[in-house]
Amino acid sequence: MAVVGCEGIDCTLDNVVALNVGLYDSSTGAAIALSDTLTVTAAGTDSVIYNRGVNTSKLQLPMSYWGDADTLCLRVYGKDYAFEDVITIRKTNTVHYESPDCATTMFHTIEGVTWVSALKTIDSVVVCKPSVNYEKKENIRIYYHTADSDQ
Amino acid sequence: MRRRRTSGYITILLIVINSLGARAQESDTVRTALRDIEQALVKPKANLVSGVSVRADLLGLFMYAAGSRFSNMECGAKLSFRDKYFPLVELGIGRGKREGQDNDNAFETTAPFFRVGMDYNFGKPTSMNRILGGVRYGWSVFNYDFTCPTFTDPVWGTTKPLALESQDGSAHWLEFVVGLQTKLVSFLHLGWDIRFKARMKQKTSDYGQPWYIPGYGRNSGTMWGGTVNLVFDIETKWTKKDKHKTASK
Repeated sequence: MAVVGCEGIDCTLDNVVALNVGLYDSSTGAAIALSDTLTVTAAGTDSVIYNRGVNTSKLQLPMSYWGDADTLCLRVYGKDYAFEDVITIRKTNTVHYESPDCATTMFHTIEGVTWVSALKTIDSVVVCKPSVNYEKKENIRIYYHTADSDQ
Repeated sequence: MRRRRTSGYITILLIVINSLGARAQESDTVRTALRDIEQALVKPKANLVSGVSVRADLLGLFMYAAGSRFSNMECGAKLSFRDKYFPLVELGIGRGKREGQDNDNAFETTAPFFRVGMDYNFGKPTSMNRILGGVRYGWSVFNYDFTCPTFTDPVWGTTKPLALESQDGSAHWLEFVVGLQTKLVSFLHLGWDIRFKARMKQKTSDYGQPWYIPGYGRNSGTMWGGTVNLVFDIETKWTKKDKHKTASK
């Protein structure tokens, strides 16, 4: 038997599942902010998942619920130039629920990352925390060649 | 003070009747009178094993019939030692069924649960009423379903029905109980109790924890509960009647 009374709904308030990306300088290893405009799109969806960010140093990107890999196009453009890098993230997906009243969502585990950088703007991509869940910890780091590192 | 004076009167009365009894060469009449007086004086004391009782929870059945989101239908049995200590077992079937308020999520489980424990009667032994306090250790091993037919990726737009069925779960918990029980007629008693429950350990699936634990209630670290019981209480005879046998010899 149970006491009949008020019934609260205990859902996690900060319930956004996102891939947390940090941008870094390949030569110094320091965090950087891209002074150019950055837009991120993903294969398989028309949605722009990050739109026209300026001075971007961190990104929070959604991941697909069912795909085994997400392909992200990072387009950087300035006044008279533009370049595009492609990062592919292989992953597994795990359903996560808390209560019938709370939104059901998907957690992910990153298994590996590959990238294509035509202009060699990306030096490397490193997975630092494979679990993508409610925690806002950095999952991957993108190391860019910057003007400073090219000198 | 008044009780002491009364005891004195009764003692004098006993002596008088006893001497009368001797004069009458222990006639049956006097013997019967002695027995009646002694019966009035001797404080009733329960036997070591002074009874056994079984109970059924009416509230759980009512909640089930009323279509409550969860209900614990349970019964129990306990032994009575001197009408003070009551080692007991409880078992039942717990049923939980819940649909999300703003989505298509649904949770469901039906499983047995068990409890063992002890009650202590803070009231007078052999009285018609019992004031009970006790503790229980409960556990349940169960399967639970979680479904969402319209599980949709908000960015990629893909919808796939979610059907996580027969996920393994188990839970262990403690209950601290206070309650009252009173005699209605003959061996029929009515009782109720309030329970504070504390979950000790649970095993859940990788996808999520159950919304409801059979026998415990809504799944949270602590929980309140209670029962309303119809009790069939069979008592053994009180010790004082044994003393009559001794007196009559």
